[in-house]
Amino acid sequence: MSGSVRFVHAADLHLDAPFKGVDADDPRVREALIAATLGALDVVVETCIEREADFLVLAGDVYNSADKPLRTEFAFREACARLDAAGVRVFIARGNHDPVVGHSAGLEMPSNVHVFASDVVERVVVQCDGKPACALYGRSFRTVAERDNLARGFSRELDDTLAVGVLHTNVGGREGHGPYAPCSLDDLRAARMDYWALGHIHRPEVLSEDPPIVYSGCTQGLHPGETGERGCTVVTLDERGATLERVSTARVAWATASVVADELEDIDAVRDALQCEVDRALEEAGGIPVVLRLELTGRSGAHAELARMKALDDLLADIRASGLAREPWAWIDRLRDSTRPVIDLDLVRSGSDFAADLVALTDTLLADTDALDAYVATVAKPILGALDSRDVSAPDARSVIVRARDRALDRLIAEEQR
Amino acid sequence: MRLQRIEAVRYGRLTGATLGDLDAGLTVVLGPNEAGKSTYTSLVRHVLFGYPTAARKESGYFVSGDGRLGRLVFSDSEGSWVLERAEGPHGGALRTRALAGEEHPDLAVELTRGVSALAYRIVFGFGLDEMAAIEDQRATGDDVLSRLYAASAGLQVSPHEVRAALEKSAGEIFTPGGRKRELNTLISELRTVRAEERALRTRSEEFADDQERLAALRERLPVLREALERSRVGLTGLVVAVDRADERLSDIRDQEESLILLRQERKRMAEELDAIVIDEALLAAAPELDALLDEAPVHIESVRSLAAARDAVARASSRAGDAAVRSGLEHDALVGFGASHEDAVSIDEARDALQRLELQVESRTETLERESAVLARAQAAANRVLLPLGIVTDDPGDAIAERLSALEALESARVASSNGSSHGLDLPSLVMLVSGVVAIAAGVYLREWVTAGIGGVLVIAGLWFLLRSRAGVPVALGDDERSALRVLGLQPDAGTLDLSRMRRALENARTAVAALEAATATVAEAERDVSLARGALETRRTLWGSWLEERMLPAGLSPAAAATAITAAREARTARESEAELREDLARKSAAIDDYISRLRSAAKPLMDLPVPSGHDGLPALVNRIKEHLGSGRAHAARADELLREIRPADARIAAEEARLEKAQADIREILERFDLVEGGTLDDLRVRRSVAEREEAEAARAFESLVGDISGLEARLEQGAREQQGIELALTESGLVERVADVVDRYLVDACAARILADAQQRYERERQPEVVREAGRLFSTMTGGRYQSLTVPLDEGRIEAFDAHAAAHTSDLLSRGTAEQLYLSIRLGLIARLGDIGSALPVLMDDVLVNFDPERREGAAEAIAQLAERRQIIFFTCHPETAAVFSRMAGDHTLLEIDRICT
Repeated sequence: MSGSVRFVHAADLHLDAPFKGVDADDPRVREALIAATLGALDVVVETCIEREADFLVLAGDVYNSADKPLRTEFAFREACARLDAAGVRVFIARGNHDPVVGHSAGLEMPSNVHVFASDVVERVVVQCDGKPACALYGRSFRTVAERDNLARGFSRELDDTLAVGVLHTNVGGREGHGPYAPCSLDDLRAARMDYWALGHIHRPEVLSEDPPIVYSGCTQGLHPGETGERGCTVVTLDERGATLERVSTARVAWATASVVADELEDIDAVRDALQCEVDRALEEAGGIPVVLRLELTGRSGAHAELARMKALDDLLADIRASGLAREPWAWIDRLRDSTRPVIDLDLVRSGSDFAADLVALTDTLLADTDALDAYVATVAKPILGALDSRDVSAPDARSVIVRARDRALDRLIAEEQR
Repeated sequence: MRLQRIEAVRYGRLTGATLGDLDAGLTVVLGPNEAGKSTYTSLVRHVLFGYPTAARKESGYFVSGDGRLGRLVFSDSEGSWVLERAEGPHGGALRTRALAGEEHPDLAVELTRGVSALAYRIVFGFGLDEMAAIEDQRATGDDVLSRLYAASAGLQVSPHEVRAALEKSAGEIFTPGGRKRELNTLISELRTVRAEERALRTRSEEFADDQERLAALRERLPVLREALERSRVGLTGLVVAVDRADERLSDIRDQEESLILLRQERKRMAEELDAIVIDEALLAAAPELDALLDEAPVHIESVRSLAAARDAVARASSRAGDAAVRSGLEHDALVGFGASHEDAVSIDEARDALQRLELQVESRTETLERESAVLARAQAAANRVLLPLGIVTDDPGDAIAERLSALEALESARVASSNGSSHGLDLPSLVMLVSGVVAIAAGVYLREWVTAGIGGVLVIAGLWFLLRSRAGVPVALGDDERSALRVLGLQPDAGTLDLSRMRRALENARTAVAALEAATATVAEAERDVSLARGALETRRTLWGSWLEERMLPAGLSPAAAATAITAAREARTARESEAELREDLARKSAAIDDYISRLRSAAKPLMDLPVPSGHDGLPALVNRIKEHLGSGRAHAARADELLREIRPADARIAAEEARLEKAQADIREILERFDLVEGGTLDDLRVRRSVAEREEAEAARAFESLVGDISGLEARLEQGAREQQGIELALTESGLVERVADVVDRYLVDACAARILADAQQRYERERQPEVVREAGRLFSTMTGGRYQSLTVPLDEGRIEAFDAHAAAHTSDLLSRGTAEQLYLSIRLGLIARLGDIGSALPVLMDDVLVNFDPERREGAAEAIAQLAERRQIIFFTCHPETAAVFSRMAGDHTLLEIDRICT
């Protein structure tokens, strides 16, 4: 083996994943979201073709579920066929979302597609110009919950000039992510690969420079929390090392913004500030549509107007219409009013009137977590009882009580200031 | 600010009444029943808040006519203002105007800020009827006490109302068992979406079954494809063999037929060759004959041209004769006529000169005739003038001159005689005429008819003399005059008029004579011109005759005839020359033809029969005969050569066809051998085998196509399922609904918790922090009841007010005596008003005999409390009891007492 190879490292495509936590009732937004993951796949394919990549590495979670939707399988097969026509091979290591054991339409994939075995680490040699150029080592998840350290099975052979490891894994047991195929950086380094193409963590990250151990991140953010750049990594690898280049693939960007409304005295000022955040989000998205979450915070003179019935809904409708009129558009997924009235709580607290009693009551509750939870649970019991437990999470009692206190004070005190 | 005066302009029985000057503190108004105390209280409320409307009915205080009208006069240190309200729509329009100081249009708004009409009626302007209302209202939506209580607690919004609003807001989001609440709707939508998702999953399972079926079908596909391929290969071999055998059989049939035809043709050609006889002598002489025949077209053409030449000679001779006829000359004279160019020029000159001279004579003759006519007319005119004058002479000019001379002499004589007599105005005659006119006028005017008659006579006489003088008087004639008259042929009495006529006649005569003389001269000149022209013409004609004579042409020949003769002479000469040339050419051609015919006949005669000689015209027939014979001989020779050339290839084709026939028969044998049909087998057996194979292949193909169709159908269905994105859309919808549910739940929790916190805070507040207003009311109540009751509790919800006695025993308001209850309500009112601060601070408090049910002791306590409040608020206390007024006099030192009388109607 000799020379160099160029390949594209992508992972966590989650094709046709249902977007969670988004309320998109605009047809254009819905259409864009539905097409987003497959659109990102198209960008990956185009990147492979444009950069004349030798092969594409997909480090798990190509599909979003073990029961792959038929439409998704067809779309993926078509993408692989395009790569086949361009002479680009595709190497896939299955992840926890698309393990080997799972329903499949059994569509025959083009001959350029290779899925790594799930029982052992498989070695495949890629040839360039008829000569061995690079050895790929990979292993797929057999089931959804692979708890074994799969990295330990990787070991480079002596005659490999270039070696690339492909694995879907949680390196270092990261919080907030499934503890699947857990391993450590040392485990990965021990395999003596020239490049580790990892999947599972959706935010792109380089865990190690030498050798490069890389999470390429998901190709399309899947929920409002997955903000920032999403894409794939173009890797040029030779005996001297690897050169990495990021390529954005997301078709829809996610963003959140918080507007401190301390200086904003009326709705118009609030609207202008929100509009600025929309502009900023679109600019940062770099030419693709944005789903944006906005929150108003601080003590604002506009709080009273915002607290009026339907005022926030009207403002949201206005900002949404404005965002949708842009090109590319911006969809305001949520506008949360967390502003507080311009009331000096300490001053109220020091008084001896009804408002002081109210604040004292909430202070007592906030000081006792159990009492606080019980208080809110009592109020929430009827409504939570009417709901499916998967539809709503346990309320943040502290936040609820603080906002309830402010709401009551707002009605009692701020109302009279109007 | 205080209420200074109340004016009832039109208001019930108070119409035209005024109440004032009111004290800034306490004013006690003492009056008997029907003095209008309650009416004033209502008037103040109506002016401040409006008259009753259809929606807010209230009885009493009506007026007929223009409706109610009341005024309130307020004043402070900066001025005084009138609030005036006339009854009208929506409670009537309120006008504010300044009596002193600057205008204050917002005065009413400022006065009533924070106080509703109901609150005013219950707290600020009340009588015994309203005393209990302060508690009764608590069960209604407009909790006056709660509002005022909240105000007293540092809040302008009632906690109870806030809590109700929050509970309402939460209730709009969710109500257990509710259907149209926001959350209930979302839950319903979520269930619908999930049901659709379940249905979709079921469809996906159907797709999975399809996929399994597809996989099974795909396994069968290679087996059927192989069977089909096998049957197709066998069939193809049989089809090819049968087709080849059929092809060979067809070849054999074609080859046998071809051999028959070829042999027949070979035989026919041999027979034809044998029948052909070749004339060798003719073929030997053919070159010579060809050479002679090559000349034939020239000579045949010459024969045709001989006739044309003869016609041309005849036409030339005819043209010469025609020319002589046209010239009118004898043929010889015509031919002898030189007709040179000079002759032609001379003829043209003579013709032109004669024509010019003849025209000149004709023109001048016409001029002479015209002038002669003019002369005749001049003569006639002269005669018409001269004869009346008696002038008949050859020289009338002299006679006219003589007479003119005599006329001038006569006129001179008459002039001389007239100059000697007066021909001016006859003055006496005029005097006579004027005098007569005056006399007539005077006589008529004076009625002196004699004078008028004399006047008439004078007028007539004057006129006679005047006319006479104007006519003149003949004078005696002299000798000269008489001689002149004689010459002129006039009578001696010829007047001036006669002389004038004579002069005009003589002048006309002189003019006519002059014209006659001019015409005569012109005619003479014309006659000379005619004579000269005729002489010149005659001379030229003589010259033309000499010219003709020199050329021996007829003497009378005109120049035009001479010109024609020249042309005819030329044509005749040309025709003669042409005729001679044509005759010479005709002879030459005729000789050449005769020579050719001779040579042709001599060359051909030994070889063939020739037609009888028939002069030049027989040449074409002779040539044709020779050509035909020669062509026939040559054709026979050529056909013989052709047949010899064709017979050899025909022999070769026959041999080849025989070889192919043998090869085809061998092929058929080889095919039959390949399928083991040599022994007893035929091509029909092979065809039977092919039919069997065709049926087998069709069945295999049908089975394969059916399988492919099933696979395609399943694939299409699966592809259609693959394109469906309903599941993703449903998931997205579900996600949106879940988000909305979370948001709604959050809002519900905040509102519900806020309401709960408010409720808890209220309980705590009531329990631990009795507001100042209640404490103040309790203190006042204690004062009024002489310590019988120590304190009060006023719950913020709908619970009854409780009074605690000295033993801390609670007594709800419904258990108190009427007087004590009224003292309780008055205490609460006074406590409220005392703690309202800026709320309604300038509003006057009007109380209508509210102490009537108090015992004397408690009345004094109440009066003391009212007097204390009056130090901060303006209070107007109406009473019909002098003893009550006396109590105030005792308990309140600085106050105003107004006494009013019963209203008389």
